[in-house]
Formats: sequence, C-alpha cells, structure tokens
Amino acid sequence: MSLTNFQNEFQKLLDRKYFSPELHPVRKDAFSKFEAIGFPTQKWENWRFTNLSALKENHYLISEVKDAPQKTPDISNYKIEDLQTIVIYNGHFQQDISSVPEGVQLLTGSEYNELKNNQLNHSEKSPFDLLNTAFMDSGVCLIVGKNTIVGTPVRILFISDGDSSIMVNPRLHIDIESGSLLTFIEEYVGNATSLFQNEAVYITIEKNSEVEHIRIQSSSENTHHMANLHVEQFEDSQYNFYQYEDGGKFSRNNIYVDLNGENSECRINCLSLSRGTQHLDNNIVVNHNCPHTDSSQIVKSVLFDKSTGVFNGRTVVQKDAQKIVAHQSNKNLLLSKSAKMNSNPQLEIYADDVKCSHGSTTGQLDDDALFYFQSRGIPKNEAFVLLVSGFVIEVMEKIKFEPIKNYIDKKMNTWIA
Amino acid sequence: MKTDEQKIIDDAVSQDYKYGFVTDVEQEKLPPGLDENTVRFISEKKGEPEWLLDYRLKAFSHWKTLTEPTWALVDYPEIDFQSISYYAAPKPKKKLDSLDEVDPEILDTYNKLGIPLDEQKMLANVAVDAVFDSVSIATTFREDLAKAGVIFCSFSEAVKDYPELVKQYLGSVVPHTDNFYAALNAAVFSDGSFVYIPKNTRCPMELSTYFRINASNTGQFERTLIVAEEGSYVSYLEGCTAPMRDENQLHAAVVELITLDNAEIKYSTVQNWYPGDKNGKGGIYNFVTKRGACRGENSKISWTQVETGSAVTWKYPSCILQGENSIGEFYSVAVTNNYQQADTGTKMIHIGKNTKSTIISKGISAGHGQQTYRGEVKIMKNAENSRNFSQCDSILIGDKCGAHTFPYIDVRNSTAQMEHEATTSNIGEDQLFYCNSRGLSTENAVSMIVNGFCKEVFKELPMEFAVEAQKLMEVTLEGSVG
Repeated sequence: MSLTNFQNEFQKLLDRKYFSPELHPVRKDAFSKFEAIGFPTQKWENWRFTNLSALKENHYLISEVKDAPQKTPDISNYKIEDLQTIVIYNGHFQQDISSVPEGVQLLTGSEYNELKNNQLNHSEKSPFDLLNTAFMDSGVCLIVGKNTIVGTPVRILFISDGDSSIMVNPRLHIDIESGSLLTFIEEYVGNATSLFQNEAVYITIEKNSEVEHIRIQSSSENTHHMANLHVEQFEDSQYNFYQYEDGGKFSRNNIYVDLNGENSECRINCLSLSRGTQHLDNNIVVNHNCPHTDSSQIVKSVLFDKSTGVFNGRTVVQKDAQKIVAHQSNKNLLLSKSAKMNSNPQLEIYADDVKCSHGSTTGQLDDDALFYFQSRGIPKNEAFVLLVSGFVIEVMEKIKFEPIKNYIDKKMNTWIA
Repeated sequence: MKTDEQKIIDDAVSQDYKYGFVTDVEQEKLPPGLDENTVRFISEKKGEPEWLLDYRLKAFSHWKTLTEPTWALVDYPEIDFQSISYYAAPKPKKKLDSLDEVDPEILDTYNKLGIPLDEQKMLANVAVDAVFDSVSIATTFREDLAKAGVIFCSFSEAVKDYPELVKQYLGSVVPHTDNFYAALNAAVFSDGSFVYIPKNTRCPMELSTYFRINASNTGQFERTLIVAEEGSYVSYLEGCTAPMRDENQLHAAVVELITLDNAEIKYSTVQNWYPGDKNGKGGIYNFVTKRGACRGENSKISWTQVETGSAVTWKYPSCILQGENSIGEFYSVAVTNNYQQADTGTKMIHIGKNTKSTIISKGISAGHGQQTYRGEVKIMKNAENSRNFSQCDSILIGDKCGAHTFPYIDVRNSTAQMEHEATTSNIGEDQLFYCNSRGLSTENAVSMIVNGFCKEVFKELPMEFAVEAQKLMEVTLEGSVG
C-alpha cells in the first residue's frame, strides 16, 4: 500500500463521525510525522531482514460501518473457561458480548484521552507506531485501581472476517496502579481474506504490581500483522509476557520494555510456529534504566516449508544501572531445507556490575534421538511430533492460568500434528 | 578498599605507551591531499605497470562515489581525507644490497621494538618483512625461504618480480568495490607483504611483518596478499606500533588470504598501535579489511588477533568457506582502556558442504573504553551439514566502560548446526576475595583472572607472540579492579 493510499484513507477517516473527532489533532500530528519518515526499508538496521514489499503492494481501506457484523458474532469456537471477554470485530467494539471482571475499569479511547487530559501516551519508535496513532480505531483501555487483585483474567478477542480488504489499528492502554494484579489475554483470530492489522499496546505497571500478559496470534493466512507493544515498569513490579504465534502471512512484533524502577522484573517468552511462506519476526528491546533490575527472553521458533523467521533481541543496560541480571535465549528448529532463520541476539552494556548472557542455536532434529524412539517401537511420525512438542513446551509452561495454558497446548499440538 | 581500587585503576590507566618514540630519518613525503594525481604519483614512484595503475584508478573513482560507513558503534570526528599525506618513505640513499646498508636509525628503531631484523638473531627463526611508514625496509631470511620455493617479499617487489601471481589474486577476495576503506586502500596502497607458498610445501619458518607508522600526519595503507597452494602450510605474524602524537592517524589496510585444496594459513596479529593518551587525545584509527577465502577442499584459515592498541578499531577478519570440508577459525582478545573504542568481530560465510567454523572472542573493557563484538555467521543454502560454534565473552572493569555484543546469525539450510553463546560480566567480588584469601594481591588476582579468561585465545598464538601478548595485557590492564 503506497503512501498515497494511506493519505486518501486518512482523509476519509477525518470525515467519519465514529472516529472520535477529539483525537484528530493527535492523529494529524502523527500522520504528518509518518509521511516524513515513510515506511522502513531493509537498509534500516532493525528492519534488515523484514521485507515489507508485499504490504506496500496491497491496498487497504479503513474499516467502515458495513464491515461491522450484521448479527452478533459467534465466539463459541474461541471459548475458554473462567474468563471475561471483550470482543472487537473488524475494529468494531461488540458491547453485547463483552464484559470485564470486577476490579477492571473499561474505557473507550476517547474517554481515556479525556481522563489523561489529552496527554495520550504514544510512542514514535517505529513508523507503525505513528500509523497506529493516526488511524487508531478500536480503543480499549483497562484500568486497575490501587491494591486490586483481579481474580478473573480478561481477554480481548479480535475477530477479523470478511472479503473486503481492510486495515484495523487497535489501540490498547492497560494501566495497573500500585499493588495490583491482572492477567490479560490478547487473541487474534478470523478468516479475513485481506487484512492489515497494526495494533499498539501500552502497558504501565506501577509499584508492586504484577501483570501476566498472554498474546495469541492466530490471524488468517492472508493477514499482515504488525504489533507494537510498549511496557513501562516501576519499582518492584513484575511483568510476564507469553506469546504464541502461528498465524498471519507476515507478522512482526515490536516489543519494548522499559524497566524504570528498582527490583522490577520482566520475563518475555515467545513461541513462533510457521509453515508455507509465512514470515514471523520478533523484535525485542529491553531497557534496564534502573539498578537491580532483572530480565529474561526466551524465544523459540519452529519453521516448516519455505517459512522465514527473525529474532532481533536487544538488551540495553544503561549507565549506572548496576546489579543487573539479563539473559536471552533464542532456539530455532529448521524442519525444511528451504526454511530460513535470522537470529540477532544483542547485548548493549554501559555498566559493569552486571551478569548478562545470550545464547542462540539453530539446527534440525537430532537424528540419534529419532532413531532411539524408533528403536523403542515408536513410529517416526510420532517420534517427530514428540520431539517437536518437547522442544516447544518450555516456552508456555510457566503460564499460571490453567485454562489458557491448556487452550494454547491444544492449539500447539494440533498445529504440530 | 575504595581508595586502593582507585589507585590501582589510576596506575593502570596511567601506564605509558612504550613504543611512542619518533625516529629521526630523512623522509620523502607527499604533501597532504588526495586526487587522481596522488594515485598516479604513488604508482609512478613505485614504477608500477599499467594494469596496476588502472586498478588503482578504477578503485579511486569508485571510492569517490562512496560515503564513510556509520553503522559501527564507534564515535570519532569526521576524517578529512584531504588533510592526510598518502605517501611517506625514508629517503633512499642508494640501492640496498644487504641489511648493513639500511639506515642505522631505522635499524635502531626496530631494535628498540625488539624485532629480530638483524640476521644475527637467526635463532629466533622468524623471517621478517619490516614496513616503515609506507615502504618495506628489509626482508630477512630471503635465501632460506627461496630454497623451499616460498616467496616472501614486499608487495612492490612482488609486482615487479611476480606480476602474474599478483594480477591473478589481487582484489579477488576483497574487491576494490567491497567497502569505503577497502576502496581507498586499493587506490593508494603503498606497500605491504606478499607471500606465496608453492604446492605441498610447509613453510620452514614463521613469517612475520612488522608495521611501523613513523612520519606525522600520514596515513598508512598497506596491502598483504598470501596465497597457499594445494597442500601447503604457512604461519604468518603481524605486529604494529606507532609513535605518540596528538593528532589521529589513519591506518586502512587490506589483507587477502587464499587457500587451495588441503592448504592452511594461520594468521596472527598483535596490534599495538598508539591508543591515544589517557584523555583520548591522538591515537591511530585502525580501519582494516581482512578476509580469507578457503577456495579448496579441506582448506583452513585461522585468524588469531590480540588487539590492545588504536584509538578506534574497526576490523572484521573473515572467512569465506567455499571448498567442501573447509574450516574457518577466529580467536580474538580485544582490550579497550581509557577512551579506546573497538568494533571488531568476524564473518563466517559457509558456502561449501561440511564446512566448519569456530569463533572465540574475548573482550576486556576498562576505563572509558567501549567495545563491540559484531560478527556474522551466514550459512548458505547449499552448505549441507555445516557447523558453527561461537563464544563471545566480555569482562567489564570499572563503571564507565561498555561492552556490547551484536551477532548476526543467518541460517538458510536446515542441516546446519549453529550455536552462539555470549556472556558479559565484571570480575566477581567472590573470585577476587577467594584469590585474596589464598594470599594473592588484588593486582595479581586480576591479572591471573584476565589471563585465564584469555587463555583460550593465547594458546592459539605462536610461542613468542603468546608471551608478548601476555605481557602486553599485563601492561595495559595491570591491577585494574572491577
């Protein structure tokens, strides 16, 4: 999609009433910045292995009223026990089937903006952040007040269906005030024949709070998916992120975590499964801005057919941020001769009292292990599935909420089989 | 304890650079500036044939289209390429027949540096080619080598005596279009070493080149070309120093290695260019392109480097593993102290089947030093069963320094096995405490820990060099405590 198309769509958006007009100044500012920067090219260091040409060729329209569901969408396929769901269909909030658990306050984008006195938290780290700010549609803002333990997890379910070529730019703000706990899930599903999904998620975790964030990306096979995740953590906070990804034709996740308070800790766990000509790309930056902070990244990929994968993980330890522990691990399993993986684990360290490490491996299944299974009477196919499951299981193992863990396990096993 | 630590760090930081003297010899030096005439002048001065001048001019016109690369994590003021003199040489008195006729001042310089240029030091059994500023001064052990059929001479002599060989291999590994500094080097290179090992020959002794920048305000652009024919072996050493000066000097060399079937080249460097003073003033900009091509089956190229000098280093000795079963190795110790910056690493490009590569990189950063390991391992589509192992460790000494690790791993073949590991930490208080409790002073403990940290790389160096490297480390880091 060329820049002109975006300009046309942006003009259209400004005329539509259901895109809250009070956000227009922010949108215009972001869009003009986007116009000045343009799309990333492969000459940009962080985008060297990401080819955006397919995205630029397609033509996407903003989601109109006609793209909203004609009748209440059926979400029984995506049922998970014991949680509350918020449904966004093609960028349209579905009030009838949405609910939030006790202790969570749900606001729309414009309500949230008002609450923040027009000081909407927004990032300019990548052109897609700007694009999201310019086109943001389904705003979902969750606020958890002080000292609130939210017992029931909340899920935001994005369904994208239909034949029209649309783009959806969801905008999530999750604010967790001090001493609280929230488990929330983002899930992306649907059968859209042509979709550009460009979401931005901003999470602020205040003192003493904990967030368990699970992201399931199973978009349709024609989806171009761009995720921009920004997390800011304060003193004694804990952030656990689990990402399961098997959908989309092209997917890139830009994950930025800033550890801004002492004793804050973040654990990033990502699993990418790809086949066909899928391209799954994880770009993670963890900034240790404060002493006594702790981070880990575990990223695994399994690649079949002609699929390609990228891991760009960067751990930055700022000057004077002493007593840091940071580990990165990237393991990739190539299961076809034409699959391709780029792995760039990076450490950038400006303080001395640190323990940082990274490891990266890429290879295929161990022939000896396969042979051993067969020698014990287990057929090759089964042995193969067992070994691959064994490889991936570690990533999602630590999810605390059982039903979601089982849900992902089921998805994973179906995919591998 | 704190003051002790401070004192020890200060001591380490105030260590003088002992090779910082200037030799007073009559120089023939080109005025600063770079245009086509400079290139022609250098070529004419060296009496080069037409084809080489054409090569230089082609490189120069390509260089003009390029801009300086900025992706490295180093910070230095922009270089004015017009303010550098591109040719400096001791004024020739007459044609030299033996070492006795070399300017005694220069010989004295090399003696001070401890280079066994004097044939009396035959026991050392190292053949030396010494490059003083831009010109090769003397090559020792010529005759012995000739008996074995080994050619070891200055680059200019090689152009005169073995034009066919030079023509065949020059620029075949690092083409003049490769990068900014390689293009510049191809245009204005002055001298360097040329080594040719014939078929099935094991070079009877270690070969060595000693580089010295003496004149002020000059750049040194040397070019080394080593060709190992089928079944041959050579071990080559390289050392460098320069006087202390307040201005920065540019060193942009190109090294090309070629191994054919079953051949092996072992290339060791101890780089100790002047690193600048403790405030970061002066020092050498070391922007070097080094690359080896394992063209033949079962061939092997091994790079070992100890980088302690230079204000800014930008260096990635690489291996292109074309031949089946070929092996590439990279062992590196890099030290940055005061305001030194180093962005160094390697590239291993696996093209042939069953190719193997090993990368061991040890970085030590102290004072305000900034150090980056940047390496690429690329496994191409047809490189079946290729294997890579990389380990990059960094030690930080002091809270003002930085250590960064940027590996790029690109795997396009599923049968490849690739592992990368890196760690960054300081010297543990418990490690120091343990050594102290066994009666070692903190200073000795640090020296021991750092030496142990580097051992894996030092053991790859030839004997004499290993000892020198170990001493150099002690001088550069003596007693620093994290």
